Amino acid sequence: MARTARVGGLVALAGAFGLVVAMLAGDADPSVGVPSVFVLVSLSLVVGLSTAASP
Amino acid sequence: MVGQIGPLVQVGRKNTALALHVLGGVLGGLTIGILLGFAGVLLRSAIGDALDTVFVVVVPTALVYAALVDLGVLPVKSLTWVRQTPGDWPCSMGHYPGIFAWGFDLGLGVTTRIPYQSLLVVPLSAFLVGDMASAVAITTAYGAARALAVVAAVTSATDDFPAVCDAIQGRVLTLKKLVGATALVIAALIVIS
Repeated sequence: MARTARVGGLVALAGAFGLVVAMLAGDADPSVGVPSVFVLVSLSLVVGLSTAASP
Repeated sequence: MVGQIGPLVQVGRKNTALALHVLGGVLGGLTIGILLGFAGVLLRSAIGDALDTVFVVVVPTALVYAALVDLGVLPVKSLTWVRQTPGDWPCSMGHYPGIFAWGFDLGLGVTTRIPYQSLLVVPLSAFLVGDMASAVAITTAYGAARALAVVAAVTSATDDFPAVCDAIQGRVLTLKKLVGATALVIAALIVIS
């Protein structure tokens, strides 16, 4: 249970971090649009969190 | 990576070692983001708003291609290279600097083996977005997430790192399909946004 909570906490932390950087990017007002940057940050999070087994 | 870092963090202070790995991952993502962001800003200054059109065409197309490869629908050879993070860094650089350097190297995203083709779209989109802050956000999120995934795996291992590696390897195909499906959804979201 504690292990699950710890892993969940780390994943939540990564998600929160992603939201923060997406908001920072939003302040910069990218010309491709905030939604595009937001979904690409989400892709980065999914790909990054899925690569723990990689060398 | 888990198999390498796991036993190492048993030596010395575990939390310090893991924090340094995450710091390395964040700084690696930040570094590649600054480089690609700068290149993208230069490209935008050269071709102007036409870069937005290039972005809307190239990034979703690359996402669909990568998704089809990751999902196993497109049976082509994956674009990757054989380099891995050198296992001797903690010996040659020192314990903590070596663990930090592993995080930095992995956070760069493009200097080691490419496990999913969708990963290649991360630096590509950071370049084509043509905006420094956006490029840094995209790549730093990747570097941080990759390092945090290693930390999550190591902290949940309770010293049985080979078992964790086996468990993760057993899920690689599932994870690949998850990444491929995510890439498809994101391609659609970029087109309709």
